[in-house]
Amino acid sequence: MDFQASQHLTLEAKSLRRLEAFGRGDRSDCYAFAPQSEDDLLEIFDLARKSGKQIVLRGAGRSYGDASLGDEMIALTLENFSGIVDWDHDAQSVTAGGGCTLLELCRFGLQLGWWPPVVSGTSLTTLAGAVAMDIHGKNNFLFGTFCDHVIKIKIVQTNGTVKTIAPDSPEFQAIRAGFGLMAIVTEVTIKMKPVTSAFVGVTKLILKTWEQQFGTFNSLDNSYESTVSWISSFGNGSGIFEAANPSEKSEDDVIPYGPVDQNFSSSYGYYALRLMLSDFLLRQASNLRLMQAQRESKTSGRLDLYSFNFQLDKLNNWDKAYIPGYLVQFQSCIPVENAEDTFQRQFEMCTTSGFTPRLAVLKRHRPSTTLLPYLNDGFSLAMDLHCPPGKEQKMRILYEKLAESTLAGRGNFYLAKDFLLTEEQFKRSIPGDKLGFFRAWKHQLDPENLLNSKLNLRLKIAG
Amino acid sequence: MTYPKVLVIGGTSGIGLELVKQLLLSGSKVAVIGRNESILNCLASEHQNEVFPFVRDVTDHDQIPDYLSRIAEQLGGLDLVIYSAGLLLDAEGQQFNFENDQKMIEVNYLAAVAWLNAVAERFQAVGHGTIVGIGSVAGDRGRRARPVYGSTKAALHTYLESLRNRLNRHGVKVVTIKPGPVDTPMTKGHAFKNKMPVEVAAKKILKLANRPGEHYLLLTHKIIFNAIKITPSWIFKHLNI
Repeated sequence: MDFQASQHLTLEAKSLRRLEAFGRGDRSDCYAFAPQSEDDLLEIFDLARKSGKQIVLRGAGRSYGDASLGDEMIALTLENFSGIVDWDHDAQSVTAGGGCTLLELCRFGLQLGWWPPVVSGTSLTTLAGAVAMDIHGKNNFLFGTFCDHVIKIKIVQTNGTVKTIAPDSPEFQAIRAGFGLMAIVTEVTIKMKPVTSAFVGVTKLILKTWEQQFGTFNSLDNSYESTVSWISSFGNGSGIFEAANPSEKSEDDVIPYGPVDQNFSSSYGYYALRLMLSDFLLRQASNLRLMQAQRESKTSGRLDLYSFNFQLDKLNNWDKAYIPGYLVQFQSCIPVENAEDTFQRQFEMCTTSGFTPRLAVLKRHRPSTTLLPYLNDGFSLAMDLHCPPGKEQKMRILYEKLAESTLAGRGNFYLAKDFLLTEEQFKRSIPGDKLGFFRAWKHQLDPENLLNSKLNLRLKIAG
Repeated sequence: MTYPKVLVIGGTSGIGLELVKQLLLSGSKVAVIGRNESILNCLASEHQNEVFPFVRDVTDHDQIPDYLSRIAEQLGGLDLVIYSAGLLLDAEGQQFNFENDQKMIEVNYLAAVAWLNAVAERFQAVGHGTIVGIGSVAGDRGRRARPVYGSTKAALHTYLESLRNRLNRHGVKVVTIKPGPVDTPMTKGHAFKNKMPVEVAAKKILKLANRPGEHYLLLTHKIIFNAIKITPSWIFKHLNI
């Protein structure tokens, strides 16, 4: 957890904490609490009612934007609702607290030969956060989103109702990707995926153009479980394409423990990353990386599941590489027919505006089944942009252009990453009356509107 | 915009009012505490959603933490708090007037402690924020004229220095500004020479707000008043200042 929450449930100055977005582009002063029990949650709801304050769910604070921020709100972390609660060998399912991280779940699962079917690019999110944003990973085109594998969740509503709901319940569909605005998820039961080893076989290809990138993704025909392409900063679409499938167990295999052994170099490696914020060095680094990968290409290697799925977690505090200034990650999902043109244009927009993407990740998707769609039958490109001090206005202008190009390509936005989209642009990305349905569910599940966030205040998602 | 969310305590007159105007020009949202309701209303109607008026006598110490919390709620947080409430009531010649002295102690020092204690507690918890206190060159030495005004400012300087030393490790900046005579309603009718225009003073104060420490507004003031500070008492008592 990223802050030391107060154990005393009173709205005093000493309970205040300054919380930051993961990208460091926004922050809020909040009354931060770590409730110990469901009774504490009910007490906090009462406190909010009496004081007229609203509650924001902080999770692990890994949202790049303002989804887990709320100025002067009560911020809740579920660190006391963590840990594995139960597991079922026959059903291959694990029940864990809403504050349990993906990393804890992975570590527990691997001991039993299981792995979560869907994981995000970081292992440090909480399971409640994974439900609230319905996270996805490199296998989205085949395995869908996190909630597609959830068997049930336990929720606490702001009216005090505590219940367990399954995916066939309409409420579940409102809470998944509900941005933490509907109810508090205190427990998650997920069906795990059996794995024969803790490793995956990874094939790497060097691709030189956007055309090659999309051609490769389209030609694979689901022959790999996970695919991802790391796009270089050159802007011509060159990059390293990775495709992975589960690997058979080898006699020498030792079950890895994940990204915890932060040695000196990895803890302070972000200083080296800072150097790469200059365009020149960034291009040279991309060049070197491509050359290195070229030597490795056409040979399949093995990587442990942590290293393949959570590459950046190995570099502790990598986000600090963007200081001074902050990190903006723009991620949109564009339907297949428009993806190549749109992403090529978006990349050019960034480069010509002086914000060359430091890292860009291309992934294949299938449509999300959430109340508000954010993935479609297409591709997503996540671009990491560094906004140095004094360039905030210029970044806003670029972001607006990127958002317009996404809308022109009939794409969707992933709000876990966002903090600059406008209300009007967001509304245009949601078809039909889906926003109306979302608001009706918000009214039903949290009629007093106690749960809120800066994201919601900015985009008026729940009205 | 350096300070998105600002509270000015004593912002309906003089330096405080000018600071409010300049902060608004820089794009800040400003909460203003003052007694002059008509000025507050005027500011609020001219700058809707940018000025948040709070009619209150700063010497009213009742429930200050809750009041501060309400202000922060309206602003959406707090980045900068300026204590600019001040009172200068002259005791002519060699006269003494305890009633006036008490009022000055209450506004210039006691109220500052009451409000800034609450602000300090908040800033210490969040590890962020800037406190600016408007002191005076009059607080540097015990002069013949205005003994209580000077001593309230001296007390304020020491209090702010303590806050600075205490809060620095929490990432909070505390700034003491020691203006010389500034052309404001407070100094009207007083025989000060070379009064600084209030617009100039406010501009300099906002520029210095980012630098923790004690600051004079002019280099000449810095030289002269530092010289006065080190002047031995046995000489100082003979000087006509």
